[in-house]
Amino acid sequence: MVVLALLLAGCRKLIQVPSQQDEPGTATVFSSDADAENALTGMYIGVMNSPRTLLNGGMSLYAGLSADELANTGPNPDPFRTNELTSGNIICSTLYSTAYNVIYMANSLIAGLDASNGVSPAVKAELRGEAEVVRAVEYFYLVNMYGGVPVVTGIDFSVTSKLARDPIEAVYAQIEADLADAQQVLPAGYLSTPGYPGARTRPNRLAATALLARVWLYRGQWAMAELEADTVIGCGLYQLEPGLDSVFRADSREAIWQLQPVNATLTTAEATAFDTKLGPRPGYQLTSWWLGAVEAGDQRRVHWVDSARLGPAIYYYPYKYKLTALSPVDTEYNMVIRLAEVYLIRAEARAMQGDIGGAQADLDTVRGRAGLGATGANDIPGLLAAILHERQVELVAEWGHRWLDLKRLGMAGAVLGNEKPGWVGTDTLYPIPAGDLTANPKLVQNPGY
Amino acid sequence: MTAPRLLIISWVALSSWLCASAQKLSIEGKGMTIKAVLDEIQQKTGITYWIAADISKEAPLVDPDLHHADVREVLDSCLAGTRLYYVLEKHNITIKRNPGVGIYTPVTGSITDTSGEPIPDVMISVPGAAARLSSATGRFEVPAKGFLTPVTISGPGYSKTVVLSNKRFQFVVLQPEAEELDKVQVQAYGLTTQRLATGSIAEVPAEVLENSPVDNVLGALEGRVPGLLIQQRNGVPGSSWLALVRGTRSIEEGNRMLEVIDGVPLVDNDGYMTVIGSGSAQGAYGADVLNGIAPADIESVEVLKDANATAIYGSRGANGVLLITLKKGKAGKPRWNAGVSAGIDQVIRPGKLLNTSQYLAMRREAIENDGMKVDSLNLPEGYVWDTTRSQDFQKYAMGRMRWLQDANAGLQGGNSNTVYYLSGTYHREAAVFPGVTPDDRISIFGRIHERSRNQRLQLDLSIMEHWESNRLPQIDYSVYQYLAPDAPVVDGQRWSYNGLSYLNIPATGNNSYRSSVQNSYGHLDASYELLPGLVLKSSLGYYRIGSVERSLTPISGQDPALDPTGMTITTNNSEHSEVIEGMADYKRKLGRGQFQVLAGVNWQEQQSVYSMQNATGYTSDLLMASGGGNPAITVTGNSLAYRYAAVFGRVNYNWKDRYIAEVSGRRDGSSRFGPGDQWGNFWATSGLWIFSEEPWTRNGSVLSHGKLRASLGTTGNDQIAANYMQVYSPTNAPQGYQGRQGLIPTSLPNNDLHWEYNYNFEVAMDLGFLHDKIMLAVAAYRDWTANQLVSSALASQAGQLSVYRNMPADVINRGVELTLRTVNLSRGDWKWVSTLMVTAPVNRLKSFPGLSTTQEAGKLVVGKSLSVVTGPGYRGVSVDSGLFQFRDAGHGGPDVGGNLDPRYYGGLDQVITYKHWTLDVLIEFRRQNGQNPDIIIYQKYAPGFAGNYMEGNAPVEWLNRWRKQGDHAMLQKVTEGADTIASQRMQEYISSTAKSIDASFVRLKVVALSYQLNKNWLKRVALKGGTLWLKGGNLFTYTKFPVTDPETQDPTMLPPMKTLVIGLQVNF
Repeated sequence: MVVLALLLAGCRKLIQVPSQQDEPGTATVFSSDADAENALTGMYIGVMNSPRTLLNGGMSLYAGLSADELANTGPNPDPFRTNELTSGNIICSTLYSTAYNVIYMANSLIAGLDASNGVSPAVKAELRGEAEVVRAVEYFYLVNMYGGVPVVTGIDFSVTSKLARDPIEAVYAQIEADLADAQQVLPAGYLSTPGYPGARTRPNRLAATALLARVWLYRGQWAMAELEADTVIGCGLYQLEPGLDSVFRADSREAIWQLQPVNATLTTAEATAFDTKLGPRPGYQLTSWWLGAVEAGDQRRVHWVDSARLGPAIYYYPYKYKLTALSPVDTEYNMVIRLAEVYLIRAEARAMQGDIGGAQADLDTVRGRAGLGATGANDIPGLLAAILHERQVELVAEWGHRWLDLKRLGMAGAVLGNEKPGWVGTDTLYPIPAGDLTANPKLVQNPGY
Repeated sequence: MTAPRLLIISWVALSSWLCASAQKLSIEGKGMTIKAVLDEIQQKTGITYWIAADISKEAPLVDPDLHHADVREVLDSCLAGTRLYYVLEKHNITIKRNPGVGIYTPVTGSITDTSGEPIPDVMISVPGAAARLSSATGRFEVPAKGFLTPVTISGPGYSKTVVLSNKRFQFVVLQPEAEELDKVQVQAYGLTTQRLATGSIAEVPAEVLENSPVDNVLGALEGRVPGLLIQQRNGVPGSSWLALVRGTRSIEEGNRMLEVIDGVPLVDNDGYMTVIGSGSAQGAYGADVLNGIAPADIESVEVLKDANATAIYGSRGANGVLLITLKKGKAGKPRWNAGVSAGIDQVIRPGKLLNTSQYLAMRREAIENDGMKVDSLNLPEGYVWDTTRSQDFQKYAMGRMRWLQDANAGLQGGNSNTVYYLSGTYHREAAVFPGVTPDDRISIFGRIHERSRNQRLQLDLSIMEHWESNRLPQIDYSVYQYLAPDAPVVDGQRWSYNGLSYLNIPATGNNSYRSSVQNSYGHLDASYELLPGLVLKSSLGYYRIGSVERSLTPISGQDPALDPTGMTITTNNSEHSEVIEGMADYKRKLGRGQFQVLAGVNWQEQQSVYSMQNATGYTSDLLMASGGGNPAITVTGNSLAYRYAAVFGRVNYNWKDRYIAEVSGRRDGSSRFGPGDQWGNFWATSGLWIFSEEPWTRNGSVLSHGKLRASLGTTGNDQIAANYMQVYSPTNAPQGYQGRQGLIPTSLPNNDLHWEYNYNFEVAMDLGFLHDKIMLAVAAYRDWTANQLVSSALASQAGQLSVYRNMPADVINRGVELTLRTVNLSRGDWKWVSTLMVTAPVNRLKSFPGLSTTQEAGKLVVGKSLSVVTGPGYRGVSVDSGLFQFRDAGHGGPDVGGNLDPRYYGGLDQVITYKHWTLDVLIEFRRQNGQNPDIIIYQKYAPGFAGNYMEGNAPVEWLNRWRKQGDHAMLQKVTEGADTIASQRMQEYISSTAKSIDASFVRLKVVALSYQLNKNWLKRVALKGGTLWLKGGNLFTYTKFPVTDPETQDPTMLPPMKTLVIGLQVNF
């Protein structure tokens, strides 16, 4: 009888081989609200863990170099500055692969939530919305830096590793769908962690809206861009920080979405990249083109630019982020999108639709904070030029806005071709990494590489 | 009268040195006369006979059907029920007629073991009467009809004995052992014999294991098992052993065989036992998992090699299986045994190093070669230290002799229903390093075997506990031998002398490691004979390894110039495995053969949990000791679970011990693989033909045994590091996001992950000549491992840059194994038996489509061994420039050099017995290529360079360096580092094909001499038996390998030990 019982017991066990649990698997992670939120936190740490990736200072630095606002100070030419990237460039391929790594985290989060029974519907919606926002922002920068890239929304490598490049429109369609869904599911207020009241480190509905306004602007959907911008500006949650030194602080009222640094000293990647206090001269400086473009009396030239003197040379460098490893901790966050940009988006959208007065008003709001008078532009071409100039100054060394603006407006060749020797038309896109082309023969390189 | 149809095959078994009547023969036929039977006996055994003509007529015709019986058994069966009996002398049989009539008479007798000790509770049975048991004094009385009734005496632990009732009083001596060919072998889920085994099973019994003075059973197998390559990784007590059955099959995954203790698989951890053992002198592989089984508790070890033997282990059997059978007791009065031994360990063959003047000459030359000035700046150790001093740091670091001690005590006994065995062992040894580094092991083992009166129910319970405490320095002191030989006298206090810092050896000894490991083993086996021939069995097993490790790095163990702080690492590790098995075994006669079916289910669970606490920043050693102060503590941990379930079966048909066919199969599921790929089928089939049983061989009296077998089958390897699931890992960002750490998916889910498949084909032949005085076994195998799990590159868009997946790579292992056993002498008190074992393996990567996309690209070459060496093609040292030369680059990819595989290996064992003396001498030999130690010296010390911490002395091989134009040198000119070309050539040399060099050796592996003490003398001190013995291990090595030992190969690791142990074992 004992033997029979054992046999039966053996048989019953036999049919179930339970899943492995060494490190938590997908099913374990998405079994409760708390663990699912840990996966979300993991995604943000994934975004912020290494500096100079697309979402953590990489856009500000490398796209700034590729445009005409930043230059390296060392003796060797920086291929980003000289626009002479090759497909073997390690930084260029790391920007690309880390972006897809974060997309994988977002995709995993969305897939895990979809399959989960243990996560409450409310939390599911919130987390999915946040993952969609992160995914959309990664794709936004990928498509703007590399052109049409494979749109990956799943986690099955046997499928995803073999996808070919999608057209730019398809990438934007994914971005728009993600942001639109995030707008639906995210709450209006900010979710915050105990100990960090009021932090805007997790995107809310308005962050998705602001990003969507930017996307519509890039897509030439002026009315929709204006509509989304109206929502953000009109909600009353945000105001331009009167003091320019406060704009990038963790408690900035201008912030729509910020990412908190996670390194040991809690300093932003931008502050570290442009910090002069650690060496005799900054690694990067603002170009004469940018310095020359700044109007007299612009307070941003005073508050957002610092200088270092080494012998006869003076280096001017971005000083939006002021807190370095030697400073007190935890008061500056990486600003993803802020109200001033939304004003400029609406100004451009209004100008494009012929609303001269509305455009002027938005532009002057931003100029006013910088201590400048009302704009003199009063026709559409003039206003558009003024807005582009305002973006150049206001958004300097911030997320590569200058690089993206010149490209989306079709002015890269005209402006940079004039400024930079050796500029060729195909320099507007970075190369797809050589390793990816080998691993996935379906990928086609961008022209010029 | 019809002519009797005769079909007689007989053959003679191994034990030919025994008296002829004990020779075994098979005899079968129909309607044979007694004379025909006697003729056969005479022909096959040389025993003559005498039978009177009238007696011959009286004897009935018989139908003998006896296999492997001795002469007595044959005669007994032919004469049973008649009035005839026989008298068997040494070489003659006389058949006589009993004048009396068949009457019912009691037969009495006494039963003793070979030492004359009475055995109680042995079962004595005669046909037609109830079985009796022997009394406490070993006496018995059974009723027997007639004088020629067979009386069968059987007791657990003894071979079955049959006597005839032709004497009123029988002195029966039960033999504990079976003969060589018929010794019971443990196979997967059952027993077999060497004669009838259809698979490739190599057995090493306890007597042989005991002859090796080693602390790990793997060490005792070295050189003794064809097809099993054992390599000691270093000579530090307790460190890991490499054990490979028939070569490396898996490119990236586990290659360690499955280790099964009496049916309970050891926790599968690829041979590791500890978490941070690699942070000790034990080196990269830490402690060996088999340390937890005291060799003294092992009855025998079987190595299963081919698919037929291993297929029944399914997805775990691909790397071969090591079956360890623990000791069982023998019935009888309680018997005690106790033993003590003591011995010494000393390191083998450390290569010589440069002395001070040679060292300084090399350094001066290096500085001059680089065009620099020899001054106190470039050669500080030549100016600020006493250059007349020449220290032997090798002797200091590893030249000590260490004691090893063993003690054991045991008790066994029982009757035919209950047999028990209890033992306790203690082992102590120490590393030959300076300082106190004891490795203590204590083991308790108990086993009880219970049989019901009707013999149908059997229970077997065994329990073992093993404790080990090992204290070691954090690093292998062998590295200290390379300290500049004029470095100041080591006093443990100073880290610099005259302003020049050097490594303070005694102080670094404060950086200690300690492990405490407890192994627990429990096993309950129950079997019940439900119907005749049908036995149901169930088995519950448990194995646990618990270890606690503590590694201390105090301030006093670090250079004060670096302003160090103290650090501790503490780990807690627990791994356990449980197994439940149910089986049914059915045997019956089918036609003229024996049919056997085995079917069973198996379930296993394995869990491991560890935690590691890392505390840094202690500002005082006192605070560290107490755990106080304000250390920064990080705690990490992990847990791992594995479940495994299977159904298995085996069908065996044995036609008269002449033709045997066997099919086995298993379907098993493992939690390591994705849904849909968890279950796999494995099978094997084999056939065996004992052609010496055929009629046409019966005249060839030279051939006494001939067997041909072949097997074909599949197994799998599920020892994979990868997980099919998407796994999340905790983040460890220096600061959390909003104060929190999160979880990050660190791998891609791969539901297609599947085990590596292994196909095996083997053909083998066993031959015995001259009554098995010469036995030759040859096996040829071909192993083909497909579906290799390797890490392969992915496009970034997949989210991870690589994934573990099954690739269509095929690895072939083929080879020939040979065992030749000869009885050279068996006369009077002398016996001399030699055994030669040789294995010639070949390993080859047959194909690997997509190799370039994997992390093996550039390392592996299709058509070559997995251990192939690639890199710049080494072309010697230039006579003119004195630089290493390499084949010009630019011919596409790296050059392909040799490999690091053995070409052949084995052992020659000689056992000589004379009266009470036994001598066992094992010579191990290996023809192989190994890793060039010069490369490791260059890598770590770059002789000629100003060494960090003044480590930079070189082996004497550096005397053979290029010095001037025209020199034909082994090594290039020395550089101080400023010569960029020479430095670059040195780097190229390190990665070049020079890596593979001849590492062949011949080693006097074991010398064991034992003497059985005189019984009469022992009786005076109330002892029943006693043995005095002397064992030596690794006593002498012949090799051309430079710098260090050819087995460990790494000159920065402790070579194996030379051991000499003397001991006394007594029974009372």
